[in-house]
Amino acid sequence: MPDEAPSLKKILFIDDNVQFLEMIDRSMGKWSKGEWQIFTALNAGKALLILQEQAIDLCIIDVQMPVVDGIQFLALLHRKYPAIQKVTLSAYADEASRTACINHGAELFLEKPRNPGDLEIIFSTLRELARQKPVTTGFRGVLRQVSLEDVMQMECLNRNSSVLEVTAGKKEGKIFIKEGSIIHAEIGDRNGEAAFNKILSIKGGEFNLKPFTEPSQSSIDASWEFLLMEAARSRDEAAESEPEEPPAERPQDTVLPLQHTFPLPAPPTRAREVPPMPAPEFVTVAEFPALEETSEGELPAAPLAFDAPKAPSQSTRIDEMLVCSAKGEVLYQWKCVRVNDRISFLEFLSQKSTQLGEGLNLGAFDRLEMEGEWQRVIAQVKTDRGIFVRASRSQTPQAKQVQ
Amino acid sequence: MKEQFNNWLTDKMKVNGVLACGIRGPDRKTFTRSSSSQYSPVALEQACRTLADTFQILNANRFPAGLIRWVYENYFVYGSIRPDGHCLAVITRRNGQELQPSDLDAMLSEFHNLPV
Repeated sequence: MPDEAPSLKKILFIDDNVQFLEMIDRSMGKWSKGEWQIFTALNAGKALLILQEQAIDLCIIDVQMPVVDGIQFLALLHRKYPAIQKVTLSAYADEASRTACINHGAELFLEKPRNPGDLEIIFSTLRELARQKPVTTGFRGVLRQVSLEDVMQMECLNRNSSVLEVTAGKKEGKIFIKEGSIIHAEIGDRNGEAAFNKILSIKGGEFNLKPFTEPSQSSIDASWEFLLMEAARSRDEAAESEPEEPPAERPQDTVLPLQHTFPLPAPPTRAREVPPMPAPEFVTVAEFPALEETSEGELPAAPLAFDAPKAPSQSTRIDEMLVCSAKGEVLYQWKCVRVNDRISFLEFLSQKSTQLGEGLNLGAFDRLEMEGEWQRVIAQVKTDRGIFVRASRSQTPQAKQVQ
Repeated sequence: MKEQFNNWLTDKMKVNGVLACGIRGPDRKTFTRSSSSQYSPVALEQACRTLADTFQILNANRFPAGLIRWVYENYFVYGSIRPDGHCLAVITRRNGQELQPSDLDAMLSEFHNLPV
């Protein structure tokens, strides 16, 4: 192990097994020789409280936790704290879980240790990761849906007690959660369900999870599931009855700080104030060259020709295109039916391209090109935008006649 | 298997334009070769993992790519995956001394036919 002593790293382990956490604290605390400050949390709610109070560098999450499982929590964590490095631990390391974890921002997906030797290997791996510089810049599509509802749901599911303080401009509201039940809400001169609905209807703003304090009164009896459902219904009804607001009249706080944000307006499904970008002009033949035909007039099965010249008898058709801002707001989309998946992919790409580039000193990242049997994809992430284009190759009628 | 991959990677380092390369198996074992200290074994291992993760995420997004290329300012990073899960990473220069398409084609073809 290297001898240099880097700065103190704050490491948070989240696992519902007390004995496991105690073992981690004891053994990894010893091995880190003062390099780590270890925090432990038995559930997602407790972890969120620690994350609010400590500048955590690395989170290690057990995938199989009751109530709120690790993947669900990882997704929330990745949206709320995209810069924190995250690792998942699983006793059953199947490929589906691995994919889900990597897709939701996990740097590593590790098997839970079965013996002290395993534990030491995990420690070495985590230590290497903790020493890496986290990716703090670039495309951050994950910020688009940081949700107050998510945190509330998690607090209630975990039967936690806490106070959610919400601020947006001059508005300040509080929601009191006691042992998993929402017991009181207040904003301005409103109390109870009216206040709860008002708080959830605020566009933009910040929220903070605070330790529980007794409210002046208990004004809410309904279950949290009912309250969240009703709030969503009220919001939908309000959205249907209201004429579309011009962007200039939106509250100023729609430009949000990175760490404590909640719902941005839903991404538009069509271009708004963005000049039209005709697809065929956007991706040039040089960027998307077609493959050479075989003598039988068939396209080769193994496409290995990023730079091959375009065969005259083939054409490239744009199947979908998405352009979004660095925060994941859709600026332009064309035939893109899986917008959220594409934005998540761009976020994954932003994270990985930075790591790859820094690790190998490759310079600035430009794009990723992907080659399938009949399709090609180009994805580009820059600090101010993300672009995803999928195209397919087809043979022109002239080529088909030759066959 | 280890011997075969190591020999093959050593041989591929002689191809013009190849700066570093590596293979990551489905068991996560990784073999790497490089011509410069710029590409440390740890960084190359991480690069191979990133490429394998990318293929997995692409699959999850219903886009089963056989070949990917990361384009950086002055470098390309090629990635290819076999049906058995072995993943290849090749780092080449982008401007001037890049890997020729025919060499890349041959290299990928060999990789896909390498016995395990």
